[in-house]
Amino acid sequence: MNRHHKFKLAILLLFFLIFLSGCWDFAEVDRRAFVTTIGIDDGPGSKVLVSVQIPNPHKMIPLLNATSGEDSRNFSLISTTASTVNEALNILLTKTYRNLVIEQNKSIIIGAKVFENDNVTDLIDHLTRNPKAPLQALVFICKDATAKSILEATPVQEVLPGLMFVQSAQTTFKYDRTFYIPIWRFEQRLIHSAKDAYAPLISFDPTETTYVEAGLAVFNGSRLVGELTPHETQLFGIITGMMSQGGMTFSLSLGEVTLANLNSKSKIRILLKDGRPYYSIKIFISANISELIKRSNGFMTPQKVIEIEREIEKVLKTELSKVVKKLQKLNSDVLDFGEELRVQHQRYWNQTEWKQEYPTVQFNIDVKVRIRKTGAKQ
Amino acid sequence: MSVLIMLLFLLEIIGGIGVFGSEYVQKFIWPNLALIKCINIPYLVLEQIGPVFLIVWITVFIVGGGFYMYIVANGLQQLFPRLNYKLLVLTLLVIVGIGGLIFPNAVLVGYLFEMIRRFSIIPAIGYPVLIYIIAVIRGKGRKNS
Repeated sequence: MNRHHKFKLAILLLFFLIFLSGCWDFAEVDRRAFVTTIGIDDGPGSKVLVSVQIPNPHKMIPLLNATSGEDSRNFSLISTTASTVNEALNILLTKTYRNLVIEQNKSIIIGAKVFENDNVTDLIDHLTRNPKAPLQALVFICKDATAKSILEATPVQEVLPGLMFVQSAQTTFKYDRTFYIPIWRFEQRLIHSAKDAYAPLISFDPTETTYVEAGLAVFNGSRLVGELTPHETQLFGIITGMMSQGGMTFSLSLGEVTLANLNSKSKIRILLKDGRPYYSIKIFISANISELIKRSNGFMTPQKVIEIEREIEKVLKTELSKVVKKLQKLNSDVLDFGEELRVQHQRYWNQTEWKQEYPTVQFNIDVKVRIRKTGAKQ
Repeated sequence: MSVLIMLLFLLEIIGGIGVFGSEYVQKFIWPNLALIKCINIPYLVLEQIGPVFLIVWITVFIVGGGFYMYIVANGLQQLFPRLNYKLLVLTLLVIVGIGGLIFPNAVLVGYLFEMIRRFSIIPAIGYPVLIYIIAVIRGKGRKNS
């Protein structure tokens, strides 16, 4: 290497020195207030009440836990009213000495009253527009309570309540009496012309000091129009094919039969009859018998299994039809009937006013049940 | 290489529309990044693959960008043999750098691309036609009698 090249190399190395200054705006982890849950409620006038749950890591360590007189909760809750969610989060910065970090937010709880006065699409705009806000955060709707009261509660089962919701959603078995939805999918459904949004309902049981996540809130556009009970939510899961590990009990002539590992698949075929869509819904269910309270003794025979299957099919057909009719009455297309029509009959879809057509659309449901395991011979 | 990049872009576009739907996908300035952000991997340290994707994305982007720079610089040098290839690449780098910084926001970039897209067929067809016309005028490409 000659002298000229050495000089060039030295200049290059000096150039790299500017990258050695490191991260100048970093904040230590104890200086960050990690928001785990955001609650949105209806505020006074046209304002919103925003609450955030922040974990206090030092209180999670038993030896460092609170002494008498100090709040012993593992988290702190701060809230404020403002015109928008973003403004509220900015104001909340003044209520904590730490830096408010929403990158790790796991869930968003919205009070049911919000839907009476505010447009939900506007409310969640900041949480989907801001690149720092996680799109996977789960949406919950508060039933008969405010989001703030839900966040204030201290359930006995969990160290940090905000994480409790997420852990539930990560369990396949829980996709049964409610169905979890991330905020991006929730917003997608809100603005989609061929779908309507749904979100799980959450409430707090003060006697048992625990959260109850059961049922669904259903929407018509951006309006909250009704609720599905936990049982109706199971039927919703069967029609949409989202139930993969469910459990249901049926009262049959043989006795009380409980099915476990209930898995459903559905196929929707749309025929145009007399210029109107007619929905033929075929549902295939496979499940195991996990409990059988018989009215008479006797061994299980193949004939009996078939009888049970046929009876369950009959019961389900009636109950599933009731749920579809209820949703039609609410004009909430959470079953994606519109989307199926858009895909299968594009030309018809372009001509139709779906929201006017949906409540009176005709359908037929066929259910096929297959029991894989009976668990016992009797 | 170019075909592979185009194929990956196509897959990404199909994936973006497939996941978000035609209506929702229009909300995002970078739908592919939003798509990656939606992927949730519970229990893994990061719980998301966004940072991993960004590393791959930037690598692919730089390699792809470098490839296009080579094509343009090589083409220009063939047209104008007097140009210095190395200096040409550096000049292109400055042009691309200024192009990337000059626009204040992505909305304007999207708007401009929307306008340019309508006329992009003109150089695609016009350039070979122009070369042919020049060749005819200069009498190039004919067999010597």
